[in-house]
Amino acid sequence: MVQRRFEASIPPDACYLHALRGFFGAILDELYPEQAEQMTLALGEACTNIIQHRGESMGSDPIDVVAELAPELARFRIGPYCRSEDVSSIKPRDLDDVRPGGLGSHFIEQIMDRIDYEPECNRPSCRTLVLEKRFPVGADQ
Amino acid sequence: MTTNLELHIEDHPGYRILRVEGDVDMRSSVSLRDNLRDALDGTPMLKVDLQSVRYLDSSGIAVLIQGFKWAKHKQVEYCLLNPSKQVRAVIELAMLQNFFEIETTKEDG
Repeated sequence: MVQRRFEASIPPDACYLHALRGFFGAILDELYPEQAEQMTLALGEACTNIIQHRGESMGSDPIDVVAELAPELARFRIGPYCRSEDVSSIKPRDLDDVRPGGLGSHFIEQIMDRIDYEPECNRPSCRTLVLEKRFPVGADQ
Repeated sequence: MTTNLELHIEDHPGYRILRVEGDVDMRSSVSLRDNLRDALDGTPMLKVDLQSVRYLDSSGIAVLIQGFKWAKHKQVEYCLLNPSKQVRAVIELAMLQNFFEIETTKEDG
C-alpha cells in the first residue's frame, strides 16, 4: 500500500483558508479527482469551525492539518479542533429549519465516512478532529 | 489584504444581476452579504449569477439564504443564475435545490 503524507499549518485566521484549500485541493485533485472538491469542502468547513468557535484555551495556536492519503483511504487529522468538554455539543443542525448558519458540520458528515475526536497527545484537554473517506479497492479514481 | 472574490452589478430592463466570481468562504462571504443586501434596493428582480464561483461553503449558503429572506421582505424576485458545478453540489448537500429558484441559461461543462 502506497501512502502519502502531507502537512500544513496555518494561523487561526480566515484569510489563510484560501491558501490551505489551494494546497490540499491540488493534492486531492491529483489523487482523487472525483472526490477532491467535496473533501476540500469538508477540510475548509472543519478549519472554519475551528476559527469560528475557538475558545480562549486554544489561544492563537496554529491549525495543523495532516493528510494521510492511500488509494483506499484518505485520513485527515485537524487540530486542535475543540476542547474535550465541547465534543458532545457538536452536531449538525436540523435541515428542515432553513436558516443561515450551522451547515458546516452537516456538510462534513455528508461527505466523510468517519468522524472522530481524538485527544491530543500533548494536550489532553483538546481534541483533534479525524476525518476519513474510504474508496473501494480497485475503483477507478 | 484582499479576498479572492469579485462582485459586479449589471442593470437590465426589469431585473438586476449580481455577478459573483471566485471563492465564497467565511472571509469573503461578508462582502457578498453586504453587496447582496444593497443590490436588492431599487429593482423588482435580482439574479445572483454564480457561474464563475469556484468555491462556496456553508457561509456562502448562509448568505444566499439570507438574501432570499431579505428579497421576500422587500418583495423582490430572487433567483440563482447558472450555478457552477461546485455550487450546485453544495446546494444539493444542503438539500436546498427546491428552496431556491434556480435559472439556467447555458450549459455548464
